[in-house]
Amino acid sequence: MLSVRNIETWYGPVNAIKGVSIDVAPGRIVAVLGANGAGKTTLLKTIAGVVDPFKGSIDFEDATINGLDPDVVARRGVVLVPEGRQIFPFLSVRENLQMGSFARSDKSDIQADIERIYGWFPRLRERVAQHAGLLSGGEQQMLAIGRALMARPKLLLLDEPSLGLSPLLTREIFHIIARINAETGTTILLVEQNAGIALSTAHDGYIMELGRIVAAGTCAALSEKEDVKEFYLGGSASAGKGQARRWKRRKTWR
Amino acid sequence: MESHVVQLVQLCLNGIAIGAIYALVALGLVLIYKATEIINFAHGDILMASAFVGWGLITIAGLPFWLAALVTMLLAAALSYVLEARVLRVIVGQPQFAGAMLTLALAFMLRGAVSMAFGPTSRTFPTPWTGQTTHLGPLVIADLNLVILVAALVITALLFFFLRRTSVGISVQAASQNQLAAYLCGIPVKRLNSMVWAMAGAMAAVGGLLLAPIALVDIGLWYVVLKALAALVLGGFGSIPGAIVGGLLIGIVEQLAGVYLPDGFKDVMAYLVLIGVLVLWPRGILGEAHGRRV
Ligand SMILES: Nc1ncnc2c1ncn2[C@@H]1O[C@H](COP(=O)(O)OP(=O)(O)OP(=O)(O)O)[C@@H](O)[C@H]1O
Ligand SMILES: [Mg+2]
Repeated sequence: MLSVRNIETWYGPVNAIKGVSIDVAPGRIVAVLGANGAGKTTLLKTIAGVVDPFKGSIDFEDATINGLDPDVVARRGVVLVPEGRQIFPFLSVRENLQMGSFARSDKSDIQADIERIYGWFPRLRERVAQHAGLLSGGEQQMLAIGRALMARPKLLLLDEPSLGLSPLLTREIFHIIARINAETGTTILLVEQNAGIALSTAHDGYIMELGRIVAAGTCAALSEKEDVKEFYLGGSASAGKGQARRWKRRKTWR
Repeated sequence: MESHVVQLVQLCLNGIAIGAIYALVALGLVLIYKATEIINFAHGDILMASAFVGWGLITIAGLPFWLAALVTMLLAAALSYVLEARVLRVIVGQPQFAGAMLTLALAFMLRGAVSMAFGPTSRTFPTPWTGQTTHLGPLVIADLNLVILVAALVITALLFFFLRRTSVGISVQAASQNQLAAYLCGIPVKRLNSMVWAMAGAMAAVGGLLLAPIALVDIGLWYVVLKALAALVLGGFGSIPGAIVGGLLIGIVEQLAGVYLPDGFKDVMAYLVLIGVLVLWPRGILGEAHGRRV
């Protein structure tokens, strides 16, 4: 469905992505894991057309989408929920959701879709008329995801949906992500710091470091790898001794 | 009624009419600022050029007033649209200063073009209401002032309806509050920005066609942009209701100062009031208490 081929993305002199290829099959949840600064956000922004890749190509449903403006990419069905709760602060919750369906060609059952989103995120229903800027951080994240779903995306890109949320709310959001995927068949590509919950929710995974993909596979397989266990799931390396080993050990990504 | 009370009311009415024009110009500036974060210093020159074009269409081409007004609005809208789409879009992402310089340059170019095309003389054009008055008890009101008021009210109401009730209008607000999120919703932000400029341009044309019959068709008409900027700061920069309140206040203050204060105060008084208000309320009268841009 989505195929990213050898993209390289630069911010001025900074090379944030150094040749990345990933594939996303229809109906799957795909997670991209990686440390801070690995280039995960840049990867999603490049796919969504917010930044243009310097090299490489991005194909979605057999059409090249790199170089298109982000609003055009969104209308093709690739919708990004960016890092950090990007909502419209002075519009009401309801108007925020309506904006999500702005570019939709069939406007017939927008009301039904809004209801469906309130079903997934009941907290939003209680605050329909409130300015979105007055919501709590978690509620804003729900609104941002709900707004993206109003576009009826074919591929939903989620950038750190758990950022700044309590463990409880994180679990709630990931539970809903899995439900959305199961109920609507929406394909999801998500980036996450919380490797444990991402690997248990997603089907396939990629691990990114310093602008490159260093491991790929099904989430079940990835969870079994020693390196992943140690560096992302906080597994075998025990406290104290682990600190020293972290420095010495070279990651081999077998 | 005593004669000086009548005079006071009369002056306030005139002030409201002029103030309504300032408010229209200020509204255009706010719209442009909210959409593209540019202060359009060429806005007054678009108004001035529209007055000349209107004059040309009415007295040279012989078009009826309404048709001339419509054509002028369309031309001003087209000019503003092209300016945004072809010139100002190039500097997106540069510091605001770049936008200010660019619009100042455009302002001088427009002024130069108009003075080359029409020469330095002032002119007038007839309107359906020129010279007519309505008597309201002891008050004598020029019909032109009533028309100005009605036109300003109608345009403001339409603008509010558009921004608050229509999907495209709400998307204009959305794009000004969070441009990235607007793009990601599939809102064609670039086209929307050009459209906002076009709307503001049409409003400037209306301002020019209404102002010219009371102030002559003259190169100096561009000067209203300074009054409108003062009105914006007075009302609270970036606030749409503030632009209206500020415009009306400056219009009234000017009229009163022209009669009750010594010569020369008319043009200065607006700015004196502005300074006074800013000392009392640094954000302006209706300034947003919760500014998003900190
Ligand atoms: N706007 C920018 N200008 C310059 N460099 C940038 C910009 N945004 C990101 N970078 C650089 O690109 C690299 C990748 O950044 P990116 O935001 O994609 O990382 P990330 O994997 O999303 O990190 P995190 O997990 O902290 O969100 C970093 O080295 C960062 O410094
Ligand atoms: Mg990131």
